[in-house]
Amino acid sequence: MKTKNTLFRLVLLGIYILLSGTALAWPPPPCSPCITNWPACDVFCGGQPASCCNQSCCYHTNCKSCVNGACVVCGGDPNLLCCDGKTCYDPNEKHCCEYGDGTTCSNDEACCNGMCVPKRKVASATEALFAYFLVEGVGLRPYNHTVHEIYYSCINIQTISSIVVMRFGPDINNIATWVEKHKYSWNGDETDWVTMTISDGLVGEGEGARGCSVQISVTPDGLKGIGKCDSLLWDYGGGHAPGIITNAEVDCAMPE
Amino acid sequence: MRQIKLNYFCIVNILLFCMSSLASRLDPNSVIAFVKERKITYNEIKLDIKYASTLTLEQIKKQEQRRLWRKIDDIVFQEAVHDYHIRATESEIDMQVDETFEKANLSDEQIHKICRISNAIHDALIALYQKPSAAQEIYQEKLSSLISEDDWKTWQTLIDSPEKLKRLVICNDINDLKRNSRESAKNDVLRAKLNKIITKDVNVSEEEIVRAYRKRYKEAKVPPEYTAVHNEIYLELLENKRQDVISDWKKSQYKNKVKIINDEFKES
Repeated sequence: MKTKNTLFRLVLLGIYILLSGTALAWPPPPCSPCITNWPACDVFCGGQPASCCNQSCCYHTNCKSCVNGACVVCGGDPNLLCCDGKTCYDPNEKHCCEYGDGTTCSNDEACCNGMCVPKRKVASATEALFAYFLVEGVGLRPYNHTVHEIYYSCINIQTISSIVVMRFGPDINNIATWVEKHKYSWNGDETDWVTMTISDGLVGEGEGARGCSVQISVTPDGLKGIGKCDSLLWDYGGGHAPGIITNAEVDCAMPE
Repeated sequence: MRQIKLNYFCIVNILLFCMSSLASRLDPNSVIAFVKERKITYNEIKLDIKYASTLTLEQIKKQEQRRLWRKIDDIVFQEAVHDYHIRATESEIDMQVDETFEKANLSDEQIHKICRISNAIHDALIALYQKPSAAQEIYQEKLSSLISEDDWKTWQTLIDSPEKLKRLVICNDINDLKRNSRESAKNDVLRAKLNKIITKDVNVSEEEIVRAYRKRYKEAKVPPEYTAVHNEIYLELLENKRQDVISDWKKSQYKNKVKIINDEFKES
């Protein structure tokens, strides 16, 4: 009997320690609904684009928004579908999505706010780029460096998209990193150099691609896109070495 | 409050443990793939620790994946070269090197600059190994007129030991540049010969050229004469077909010879 009592007390003590430990370790509900980062309580919904909907975060992804206290897709309209998480559309009407596998436009058209609009101008320019790698047995390597410029008008906004494709051929898996920069110039005005982002989805074997785009509100006469290979890093197995690049820039002027 | 701090400490430690486990997620001797009987171990594709520390885990995985496929491609290529008895003669390699340099059209000034940069980087790295705290002074003295400070930092990170420096070839004139390009040129010659063998049956019919001509100029108000663009379209179609055949050949080689053992490397 005495042993049973001792055991019972030990179990109770154990539960008490466990509960008190958990209670101490768990801070009290710290901030208002949808606010985090206790004790400062200064981050709204984890810093993501969102609204506070019925005391919980309604993240503005996949076409969601807060309507009458409910986080719903496409304003709660059951006749609309969300297109690649970007725009809402009526499936009975022609619609395009800017990204992913949604309905896409033909090659001569671009997606403008859910509608396919004709591309105004398209131009390409290719030049051979040469990179000299000091790595033993590598030396001078030639790569085709192509800039594609596509320009279209979307509700009074001119959008210029650029894709730079580099044909590395069998060296593709030796190039550990490729940094490409790009700028636009027109009428004596020009943008700053921007680092292009990886855009390898549509390239062929042995090719890499980088992309960027700008939106401007003027009609750019004399528009020119300039791609510049900023750096290439050769991976030789035992390590990496940068290349010394010649003919790094390609100018691509839009036809008048 | 102390209890909370203790808990945060524990969580941070658990996270650190998980991260370190991820960093050394594979045994260097573990087999990643087979190309027929040839094993490829993790040790053959893993990145240098210092370089890897500048990358995210995702970037590390991507670069290891790339290294694995380079290794596989090399083995498959060398095997095909052996099986088809393909050779590159010294004169063919010379011609390939000359052709690349001709196309590059490097001026004397550019050649001189490449050589100056290679010598300056070599000297700067030697000085750095002797006095690691003097990176900034070394840059000012030896490199500031040739490369940017960011590039110098890249060189410091990547070529961080005399062993790695030994893999770099320092040049003094165009002959040195050409000599160092011979191994690459040899591979280019061998690949071109292999591709020629693989694509020997590829041809383009007149009907295909007509179809491509009509498709290309279907919306043109004034299409060019068929004869004026015939050869251009023919060469374009021929090259596209050749690339497709080479790509199919590679896929069939991979399918028959390559077995990826490690799940992490299976996706591509």
